[in-house]
Amino acid sequence: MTEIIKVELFRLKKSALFWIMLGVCAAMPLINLLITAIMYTILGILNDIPVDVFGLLCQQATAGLLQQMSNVPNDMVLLTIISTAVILSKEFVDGTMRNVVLANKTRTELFFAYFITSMIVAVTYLMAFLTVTLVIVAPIFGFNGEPASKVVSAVFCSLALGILAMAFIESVVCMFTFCVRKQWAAVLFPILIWYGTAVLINIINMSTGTILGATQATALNFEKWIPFYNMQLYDPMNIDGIIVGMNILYLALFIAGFTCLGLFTFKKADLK
Amino acid sequence: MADIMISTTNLTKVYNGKVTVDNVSLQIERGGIIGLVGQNGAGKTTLIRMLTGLVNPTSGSFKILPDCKRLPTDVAAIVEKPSIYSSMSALDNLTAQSILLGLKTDTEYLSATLKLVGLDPTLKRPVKNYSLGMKQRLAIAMTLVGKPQLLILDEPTNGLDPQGIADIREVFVKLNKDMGVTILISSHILSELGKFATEFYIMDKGQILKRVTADEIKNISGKRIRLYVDDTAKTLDTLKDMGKANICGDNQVMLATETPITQIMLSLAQAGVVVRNFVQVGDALEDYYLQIVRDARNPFSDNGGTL
Repeated sequence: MTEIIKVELFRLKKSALFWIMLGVCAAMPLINLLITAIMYTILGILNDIPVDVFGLLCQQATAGLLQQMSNVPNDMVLLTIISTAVILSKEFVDGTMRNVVLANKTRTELFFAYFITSMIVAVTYLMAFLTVTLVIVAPIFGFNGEPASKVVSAVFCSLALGILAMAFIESVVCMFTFCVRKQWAAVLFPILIWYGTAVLINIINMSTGTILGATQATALNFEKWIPFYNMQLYDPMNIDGIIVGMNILYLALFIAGFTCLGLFTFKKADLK
Repeated sequence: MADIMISTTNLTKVYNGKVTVDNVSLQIERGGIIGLVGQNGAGKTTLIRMLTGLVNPTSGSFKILPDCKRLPTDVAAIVEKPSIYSSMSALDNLTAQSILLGLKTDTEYLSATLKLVGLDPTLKRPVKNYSLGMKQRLAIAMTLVGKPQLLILDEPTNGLDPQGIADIREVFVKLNKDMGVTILISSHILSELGKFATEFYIMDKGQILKRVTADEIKNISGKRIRLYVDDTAKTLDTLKDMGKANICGDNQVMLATETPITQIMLSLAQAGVVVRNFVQVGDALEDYYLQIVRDARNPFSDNGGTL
């Protein structure tokens, strides 16, 4: 399995797509902040009220970015999907998957080697995002006066959830890559699922507001238990054990499900 | 070292109710160049796909190098199209293959391997810009990186020009003679296979019809001469004691014989047969293959399986 991972890392090194997406992920915190600042400014102008953009960003910029990176429906996940799906599925397009099978590697080794490679890509993108957040955004905007212990917990918890979110999406990418073995499917279906989680969150938002009534929903606190939706409620500076715990449980179950489906289908498949 | 390289037992593959490979049992021993011969759709590629682990058999079993532990470098193959990374250069492709096989990357050795197949190792452009012939050469180079014991090749000379085919043939013969590499090669270009393969499996409709060595084909076919004559009936009658003769076209008679040509011409002249032309025919394998397939498809024909 290590040989397969080494080959994939060699390919990644040579892949322009990987480096371009890495650059975009690293720039993303700054792009997001810029967009936020522009929106605040426009809102202030439209409502004719003075807006302390810098002050607002100081309150929420860093925490917001940490919260964002722990979610499935965020732009970095989209970039990761495109990058890993294109690079992995190229093995089927080029037929080089056959070389791996001929090198006496089992289908199981193959599947997990590619899953690990895709996680290496995902974590690299995540770390680029986090590094820029901590090295550039945090020193400028701070953590809204929160104590150091809370900051450290926020960073580690957000990173862990972010890695799990990436693992979930990569299990989806691997499943479609190995089951369908077509590049367009490897890219399209994970994107649809990624987009679907955002749609699901909006539907739940509307449902809890209109059907059950916001007050009743809040009193029941059941939104913490809804998969993907509860990610929106995660606050890095006020970590809720139930939200984090349920996140971990749901993502772990989804990862296991997609991985098993992808692996068992691939083991029985005929390779062209 | 193992003597049996490939062993299959009742290997079968069925696609959507259609039997593509039908109970194939064969044994390939170390040291030969084995030609897998058959027309398009005979099942050669499917059989090779099963042997290389790309396709799961419907039933039956096979073993590659059954007598020893198989290493990643032991078997290499080209199955249908070249398996190469289209966005990387030729040298990078070989480097990737080296890494996959767990070998130390030796740029000098990889460059020499590229030169062996007629490619320039200094070319940096991605392989997707290569011609089909160049891609095929690279695919062959990829199979050689690990110095395999067994090479399985499915139509490896596709897309190559005649010089390229001759060059690659030389490489295979050298690998077999100098390094003892066993080669299983499938092709429908019988004239090419006949030049260097030592043994043949003839395949049709998913079944192995016959296993025959190159020497056996030579002995069965002998020398063959195509005679263009004015009277085929008189010709057949005159030549009936000199070998096996049959009509093979308008005013054409095919004669398989060891009799010297001068004696044949003399006999025909004495019988009053006008011989307009004669050609010594070289493709014993093609004729043998066609005969075997014809007999298999029509078991009640007069010929009974011999030339």
